[in-house]
Amino acid sequence: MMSISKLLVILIMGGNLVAQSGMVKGQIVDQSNGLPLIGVNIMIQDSNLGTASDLDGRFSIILPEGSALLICSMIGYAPLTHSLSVVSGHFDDLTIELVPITIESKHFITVQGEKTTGHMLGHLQQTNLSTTENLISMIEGVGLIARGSYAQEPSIRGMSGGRMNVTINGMKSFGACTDRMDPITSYVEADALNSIEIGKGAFSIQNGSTVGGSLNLTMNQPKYASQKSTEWNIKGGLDQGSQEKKISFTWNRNTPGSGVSLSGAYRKAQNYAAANKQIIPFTGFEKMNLNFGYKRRLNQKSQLLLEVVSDDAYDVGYSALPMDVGYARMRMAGLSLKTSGITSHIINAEWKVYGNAIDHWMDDSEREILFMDMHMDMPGFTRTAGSYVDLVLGKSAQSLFKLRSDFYWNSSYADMVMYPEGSIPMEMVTWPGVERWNMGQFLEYQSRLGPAFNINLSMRYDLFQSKATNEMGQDALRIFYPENDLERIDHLLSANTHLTYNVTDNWNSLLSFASGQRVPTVSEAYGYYLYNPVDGYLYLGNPDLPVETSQQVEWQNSQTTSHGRMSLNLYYYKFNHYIFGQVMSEDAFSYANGWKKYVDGGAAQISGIEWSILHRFSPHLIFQGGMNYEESRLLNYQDFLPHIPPLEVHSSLTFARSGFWVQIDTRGAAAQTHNSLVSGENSSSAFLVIDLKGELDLLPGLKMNLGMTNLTNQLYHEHLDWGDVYRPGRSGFLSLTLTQEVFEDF
Amino acid sequence: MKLRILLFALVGSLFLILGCEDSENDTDATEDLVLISSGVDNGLTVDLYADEALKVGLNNLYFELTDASEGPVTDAQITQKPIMHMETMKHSCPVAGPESTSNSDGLFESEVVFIMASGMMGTWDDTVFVENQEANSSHTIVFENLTVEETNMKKNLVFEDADSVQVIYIVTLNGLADPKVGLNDLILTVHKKQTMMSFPEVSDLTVSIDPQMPDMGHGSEGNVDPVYSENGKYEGGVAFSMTGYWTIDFTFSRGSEELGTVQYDVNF
Repeated sequence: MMSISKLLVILIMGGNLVAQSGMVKGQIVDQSNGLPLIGVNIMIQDSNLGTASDLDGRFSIILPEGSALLICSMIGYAPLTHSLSVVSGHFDDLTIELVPITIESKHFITVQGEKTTGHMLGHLQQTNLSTTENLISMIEGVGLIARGSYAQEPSIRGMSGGRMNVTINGMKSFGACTDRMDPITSYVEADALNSIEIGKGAFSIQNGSTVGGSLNLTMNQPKYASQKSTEWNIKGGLDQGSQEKKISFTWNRNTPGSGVSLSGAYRKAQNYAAANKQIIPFTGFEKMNLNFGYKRRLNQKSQLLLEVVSDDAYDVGYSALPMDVGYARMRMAGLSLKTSGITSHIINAEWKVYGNAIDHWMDDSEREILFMDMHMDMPGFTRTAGSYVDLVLGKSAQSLFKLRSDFYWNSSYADMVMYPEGSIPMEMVTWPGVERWNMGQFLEYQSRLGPAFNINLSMRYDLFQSKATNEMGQDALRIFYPENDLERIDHLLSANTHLTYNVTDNWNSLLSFASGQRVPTVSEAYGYYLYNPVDGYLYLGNPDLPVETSQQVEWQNSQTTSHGRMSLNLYYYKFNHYIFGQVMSEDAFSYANGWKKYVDGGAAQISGIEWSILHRFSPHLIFQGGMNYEESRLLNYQDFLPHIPPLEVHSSLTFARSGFWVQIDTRGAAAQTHNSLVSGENSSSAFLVIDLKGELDLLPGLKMNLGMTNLTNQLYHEHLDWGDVYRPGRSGFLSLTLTQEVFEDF
Repeated sequence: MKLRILLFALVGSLFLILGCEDSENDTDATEDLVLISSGVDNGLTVDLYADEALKVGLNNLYFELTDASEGPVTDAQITQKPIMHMETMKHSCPVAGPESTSNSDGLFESEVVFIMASGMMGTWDDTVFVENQEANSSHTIVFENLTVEETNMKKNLVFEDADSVQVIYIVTLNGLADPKVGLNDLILTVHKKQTMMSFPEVSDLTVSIDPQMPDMGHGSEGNVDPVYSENGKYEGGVAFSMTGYWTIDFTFSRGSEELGTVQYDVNF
């Protein structure tokens, strides 16, 4: 994480001019795996000179004498600038490593030869206590739905759950909690995270069809090294407010032909206090995460990668719910074979096979006040396995084809047992053993139409088969859907287009159109009386739901100057068959407000604006800020959509010197009064919170993080938070990192 | 060659499977039934079958008649009189059938609603009179000491009629011996207790069903109010949304007049 941040800082800060003649050559490789990169565009700033890397990742170019600035760019990688001095008659042989893009918005990846970068957040500093969720929430239009202090659910422009596609290294995985208390992001630790790829809307369909967006978490991978080496670090941290203790480590063994990495983290937190000193009960948790990676070069162009993730959480409190989580367990493994340059037309190929299992056990044994005065268990289980093949085809760097064929199988089962005192247990199956098969085909075409004009087209077809297989669950659903075979087959078709035009050298304009579809989630199609504490209704799935569709148009402009960057996005989404819970009965239950059924809610729309700026006052002082606002409408109900964030602003001011940095983060939101009444959502008030954090190198290999969150001790909650539970009050934290790298002789 | 052998084997096994199914269809119709008792009178054997062991509530009884010389009898006038013998009194119970011709399996079907279990309190017997029309002979057979199990599925609906005379309707709930989550078919029987020996069916009632979970404080959706079919039977459905302790209230009305409610408990 940290090293990538620094690279982007360099990228943004680089910049100098030229004048006369010498030869520069070198090789461009992928920093994460050391494999040569083919077709990387190499441009010389402020000149018309340029070249591209060949099949071995090599390039050469003759340049005028003096200093030059090489800009290397390739889709999927952070562009890199490399400044060098060209001396007549002298050959420079460079090795340039490109880094797979960090936090990126799909729209910012543009086709070959563009100067655009990944998301501007790349330079933001993170501390040892940062979580995956903290990182995600710093992006405009990306919010978090909190149900406690743990496992917050990401939401993109107000769309979450089944409207989003969340993957880990491209691997599908599905939370096992019927109340969505375990979004997949909760099973990944920030320490183990390499990058977060975010696609807003239906643009990012490589990993699956979607209407609202996609989020792909990529994990740290083992590395190769030219010299055998072992590096490790240990981090320890303490947060005063929640008394959170965190210990984490990473260990890497790198050789020229193989790499092994092992990392782990342990966190334990107590209940935190809100700003009014009131302890928020049931916000503590305990968590242990382990990651293992093994990478081996098979030959010059191919490599094998094995990755294993294991995550265990215990006694996770959910203040917004009547129950907590006894344990949540995830086990995941993936094996991939990657190769480049099979033939001159197949630039890259990857084959991956993976599987994962999640067990999630909700219980209320810690609670004194019980929901309906009785204990209950709510276990949920998901199993997923899949495989995909990726191919990148192309003759020249001018046009590229990306193909993906994928397949996965998923099984979801959940039930609920209640134990009334002095009576017999009551049981119901809430996810009736739903088996789902998906087969998909993705195709993307990128082409440079003119010197300043690029086009990117992508399409995806999906075939889904879903079936409820548990007999007790089938019988229960057939109360409402008699004679229904509880099986459905869906065909989904998604397509999108991006047109990029460089209006001037510094001004890049992107116009995008997308049409997306999604299949109803297991809960939406087959869920049985799932309780939603936000509106207090039980939700019944509907196996006859139509496929939800969205049309999206988006216009983005970004401007780069020598001092920074600014971008402005305008977007509009139109949904059809918007899946929505409609009230069926108001008085059927003593403990719930009634029950709702997922129905085709008709048309809905969302429109919004996102603005962000990055400014360098000096090489040491950087300001980054952003704002987003959106409006929504659920037309048939004359209402707003739920979970739509209000006007939000955030900014960070970073001062960095070697061995030291300090950063002030400000985050705020206006009141949200356009809350969804039919969803039982409350309005929420405005807030502004300030965090202060910094890092100091104490000794070589020993770093300290210090900071204070919620500096002004605001009593607040965000609009997306369930149950309007207050967020933590002022709290200080401290952490230490010990790093060591040992080289071995050959 | 190999393919051909495989094909033969496949076709052969297919015939075998089909053959098996055919032979199943030919098997004795009484195979799935329980033999309750048998009696012989003057060359006529009467076998009494039921779907399962006799119980309080609705029982389907089947009579199989075999003449010693003529073989199976398919046309006969059969009347039956089940009697409960108690220490100080005796009584009968609601009965329907059988018809004078047997069904396609050679069985004479009838329905008996036992309103009390056998045991310490008394014993059941069933006296059967047969007019064998084929052989023109009459027979009387008494099936003694029938075991009738308790079910708690018989209730009395007691109300006063327009003349302030107390009326007792005997209600039984059937079909919930093995309840499941989901929609369960059920049959209510309603018979008027006219005398100790006479229980005519009641066919003109409107019945509404209301299942409740007292531990949860809710009912369920998707229930089907029982509607009269025949022989005092009202057929409907109860939807259990989960396992546990349920009560089911049946409210009986005649026209606009509500006669009363009986409640059953179901635990599963």
